[in-house]
Amino acid sequence: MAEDRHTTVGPRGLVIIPAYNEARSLPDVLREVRAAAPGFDLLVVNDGSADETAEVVRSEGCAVLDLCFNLGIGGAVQAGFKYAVEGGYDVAVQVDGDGQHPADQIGALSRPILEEGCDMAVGSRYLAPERYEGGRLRRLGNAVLSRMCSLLSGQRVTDCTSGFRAYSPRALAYLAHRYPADYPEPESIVLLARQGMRIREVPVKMRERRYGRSSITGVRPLYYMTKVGLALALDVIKEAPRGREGGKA
Amino acid sequence: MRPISAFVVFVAVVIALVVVFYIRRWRLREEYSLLWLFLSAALIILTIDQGVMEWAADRLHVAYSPAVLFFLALAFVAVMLFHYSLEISRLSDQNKMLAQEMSLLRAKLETSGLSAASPWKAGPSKVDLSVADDDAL
Repeated sequence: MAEDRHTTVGPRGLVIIPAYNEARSLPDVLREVRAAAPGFDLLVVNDGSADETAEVVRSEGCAVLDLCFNLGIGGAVQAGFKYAVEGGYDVAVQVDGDGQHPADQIGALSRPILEEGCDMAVGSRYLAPERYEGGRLRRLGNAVLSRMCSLLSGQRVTDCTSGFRAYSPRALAYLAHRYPADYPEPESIVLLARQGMRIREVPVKMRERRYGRSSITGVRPLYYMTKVGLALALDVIKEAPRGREGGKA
Repeated sequence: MRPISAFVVFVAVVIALVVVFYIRRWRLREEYSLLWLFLSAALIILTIDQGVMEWAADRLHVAYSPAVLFFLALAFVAVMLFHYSLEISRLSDQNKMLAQEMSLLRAKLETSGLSAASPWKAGPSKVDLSVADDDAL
């Protein structure tokens, strides 16, 4: 985990890339991230891919967590959080494996964590001067959920579904312990805010993905909105963790 | 004994036999085996002694005594289903943690240079293939 360049002083950063069947886009993504964030360690979480994702990552000489079956985005990213906690990183940035997230803004995303004492920085598509388009239902869903997140977290949220994020060690320690399984992005905002953590949004410009398609298309945004909205409401009544996990529920 | 009573007793005995079969095969946990055996016993008692049901209906001011039985049966099914939801949540949580823990351990093994190919990838590894080819020749 620890490479030579990290024995020198300075913050240690980790880029977590969850990947499910992303063998085609990963080499480009890895190259971009390496070029844009040379000080960061790289970790790909291979979420039980059926394609050559694991081989591609290994041939690039990058650390990889191989999940033996598909856990979904929540479980995959959480495995990355656990790795970051064990490695004692000062900041971890989550970047999608499909090339949507602009690697050159990893630094901008980690600044609030390293310099301003924030616990999570979220790359928002809706704060940037050039507004992200996407389908109408999609935008509506995001707007409604973001309103909910703002209300429940007491902090300003414009893009609660963005998965381009940076986390502080404190946020990582909490999320390594508790992270929602599916569609975890909006929920984690509320969960962290309820722990008294500070969340900051950073304007970013995202790209169209080059391969594969979004899992949320057609009328699915409505289903997603309802499901996640209900889950958000339930988060409010959840007890704070008491440092016990994995025992009999 | 009315034909329907005989049929219910028959069903209850079959349930008990199935439960015993799976207990003997070590495939049913104690808590569940006791539960299902208890259900089978309750069915037999309520069928043979109809007075129990009528007494309960009378005490609860229910005019139609089988309604009490339906209610109890539904309540039993609902409680069991909820119990299974809890169990499934717990198991999937533990399953997730195991997969994550295993991936972390594997990553550690790899950085210490002990392991290479993923053992759970479908199909035999390259080394195995070459051995198989040698045998064929």
